[in-house]
Amino acid sequence: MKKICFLICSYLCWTQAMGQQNPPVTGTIGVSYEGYHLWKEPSAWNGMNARRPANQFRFNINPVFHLGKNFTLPVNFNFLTNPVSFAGPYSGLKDQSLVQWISNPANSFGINPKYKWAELQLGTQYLKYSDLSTGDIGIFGAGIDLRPGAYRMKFFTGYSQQGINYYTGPPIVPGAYQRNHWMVQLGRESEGQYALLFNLAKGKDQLQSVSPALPGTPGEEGFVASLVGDVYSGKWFWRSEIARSYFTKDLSQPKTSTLDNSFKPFIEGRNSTMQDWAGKATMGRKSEKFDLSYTTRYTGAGFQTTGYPYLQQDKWDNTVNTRLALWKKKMNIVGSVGLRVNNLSKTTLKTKQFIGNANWTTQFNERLTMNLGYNNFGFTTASGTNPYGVKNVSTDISLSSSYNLPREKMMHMFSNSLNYSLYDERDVNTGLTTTNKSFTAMLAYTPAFFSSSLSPDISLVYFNNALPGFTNKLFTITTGLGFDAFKSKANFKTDLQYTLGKLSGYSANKNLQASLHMKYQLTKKLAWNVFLSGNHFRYGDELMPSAPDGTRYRETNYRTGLQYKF
Amino acid sequence: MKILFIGLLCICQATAFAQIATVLNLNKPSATLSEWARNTSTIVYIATNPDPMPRQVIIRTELKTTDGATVATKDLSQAEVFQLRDGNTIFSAKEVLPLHQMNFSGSYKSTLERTGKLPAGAYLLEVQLLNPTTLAPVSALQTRSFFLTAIQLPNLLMPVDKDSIDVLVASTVITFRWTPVTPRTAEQVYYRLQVFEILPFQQPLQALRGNQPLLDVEVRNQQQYYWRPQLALKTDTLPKKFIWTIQAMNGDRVPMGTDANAEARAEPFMFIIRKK
Repeated sequence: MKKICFLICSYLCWTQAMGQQNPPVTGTIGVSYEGYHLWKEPSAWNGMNARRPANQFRFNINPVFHLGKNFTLPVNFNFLTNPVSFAGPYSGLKDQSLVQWISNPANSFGINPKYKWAELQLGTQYLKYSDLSTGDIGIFGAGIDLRPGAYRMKFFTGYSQQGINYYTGPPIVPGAYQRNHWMVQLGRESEGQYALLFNLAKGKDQLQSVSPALPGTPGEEGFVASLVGDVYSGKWFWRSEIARSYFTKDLSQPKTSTLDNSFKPFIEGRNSTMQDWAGKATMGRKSEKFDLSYTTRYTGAGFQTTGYPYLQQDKWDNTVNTRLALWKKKMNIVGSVGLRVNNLSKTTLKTKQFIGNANWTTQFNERLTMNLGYNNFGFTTASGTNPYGVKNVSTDISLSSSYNLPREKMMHMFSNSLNYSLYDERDVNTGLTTTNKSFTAMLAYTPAFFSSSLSPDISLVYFNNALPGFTNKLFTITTGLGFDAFKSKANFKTDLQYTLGKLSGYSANKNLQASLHMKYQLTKKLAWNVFLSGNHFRYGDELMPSAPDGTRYRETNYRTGLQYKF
Repeated sequence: MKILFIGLLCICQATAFAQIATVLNLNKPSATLSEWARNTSTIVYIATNPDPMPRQVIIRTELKTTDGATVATKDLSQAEVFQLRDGNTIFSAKEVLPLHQMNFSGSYKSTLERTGKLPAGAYLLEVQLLNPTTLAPVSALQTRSFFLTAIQLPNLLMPVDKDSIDVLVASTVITFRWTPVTPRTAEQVYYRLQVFEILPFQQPLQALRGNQPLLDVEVRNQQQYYWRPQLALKTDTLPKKFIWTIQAMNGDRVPMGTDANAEARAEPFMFIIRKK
């Protein structure tokens, strides 16, 4: 902690010194603290757990140095003092080595010095080469991004996670192998005209990075090659990518010659290696008043990359999207309709998913604006071994409007929304469909005073969810007040929210929330932020008998921070 | 003397041709064939050598469809020779069905190369011990039928990716919907719904992999959840971005990840809470 404070102070002194020489520096630098406390009664009740770290310091150091006309040095240092993950390989890991802390996904340390068309990429980088090769994962390493004219030459290598040993807990640390990555992009691109880019990306787990080997977690290796081809001609456009992946799910399995799944020298096939295709293409026309496009996207059942770890496979999406602007752009209609088909590989049950949505917004005049929205999702599968297949249909209709009523000294602003939602689920054994109906209504009023910074508001929300034999009702009233103080250097926002919840057959639960936010502009460039909130929730008797009537919890959350804008 | 010699010869011959008793068990075979070798309980093949002398054998394995079409046969010229000692010897999928020694036929080979799986359907596994020299059977043919189908993880439905939700409604309730794990079985499925806030300066997946979830709840056998955020959103700095995902788990809370990823998490979606 002392080291970090020393580093920050040194950095601030240095930037101050740099400031005296008047170099152009843009960007921001900030530090913040967040505290959180959860109290519950009975204390042993496990229905509510802390959802923020008890104490957390966050540092955001993001200046961009401009030295001369052609040289820039962006710095991106964003880190926490106490990163704790709950998903992915770092979940549960508390005592981290310095290298693990630096490469923890919650932290990033990157600098990208750039001279004209040449950029050096150092530290943590989230590099998106394309939609099907690599892009989601932060990698700590080094690389280059060269763009002489229309040519593109990129290379990067590093690791996305450190080796983490398995720990039986509590909490259980599943562990992870160190995963190394390499990626290359070559091609030509001219923004708004064309792109022809060839991508190679590889990731491989280092089995020797942990000891002993992780139980139940095999080491993996993946390689993907993709070709991006985009063409823009006037109002018409074509964007496409085709990719082939090779992915080994278990590096401990023997190499194979009976299966044709190698792509040497990039990857050697094993019993657990699969190789498949993915592709996407969008074609359409774009103009000021009318857009129309068709998108198709196929991901093979064996397509997998280390650059997109949560990419879902074995699906083919087809969607048509449109946008229409009428009445001098005061009326906008946006809509899309599509169909997703799964299991083109025939390795599982065939599923179909219908997607349709439309949104219509019209500004009738300076006072009245209305919006109508419609969403529909349908999901069906074959019956398989069950008497009936899955059939889920979700339909949502919403209507919202806002009305402004100007007066001499103030403006009355009203807004409301209504939402009706149906969700049908078919039981695969009986064939009976259960309909889940939800209705939400919101009404808000905000008076705005022309000669005062006071901005009060009040809103009401009613929610009703009904299933056969069961209802869940919520009623919320919220009041807020915003105002300026200290010669308008400080802006305050306060809020009080009370919610009454009622499950059929049980007594009501009650929730009270209060919060305050202050932004104090200490100098033209330095702002001080404070956020305080309290949340008290008291259950009715709906938790009985596992928890007593009146079980309750209270959360307090406080944040404060300084943000300097260069 | 002559009678004694003939008697000994008869005993030796009887021993040489004595059948080796075998038992074949198949336990919840994964749709991904390479996973069979990782789990020693998927195939349990027990060979009992009745002789005091060790005997050498190879394992002949054949995969068929239930209507008799051949899916894969083991290349016996590559088959490993095992020495059976007196008593029981237990083999697992690693020895019985080594994929690098199996010759898959036609479309089954191309599907396996592409997906690591076989087409969904009913199959037969036939296993027999052979003499490595003569390839004569030394045990009875064991056959087990099984059904293969891959699991499809949930797809997220609502809020749709990059959807905007009005802060006044979101302060009261946010509805999440997703598709079920398919195929549906009698086994309980627990859907773990997690919502993470994407802090300023964070990438969406960085938030998922690095932050503490604001919501971490298990929903049994249902594909809908109403979340009351209780986050004092209205006074906080807006817009606020969130990323959410569903993790599918079985009754033992083990992720059902065989298809898309080992964590069995659905491809995450983002939503934004803003003042509309």
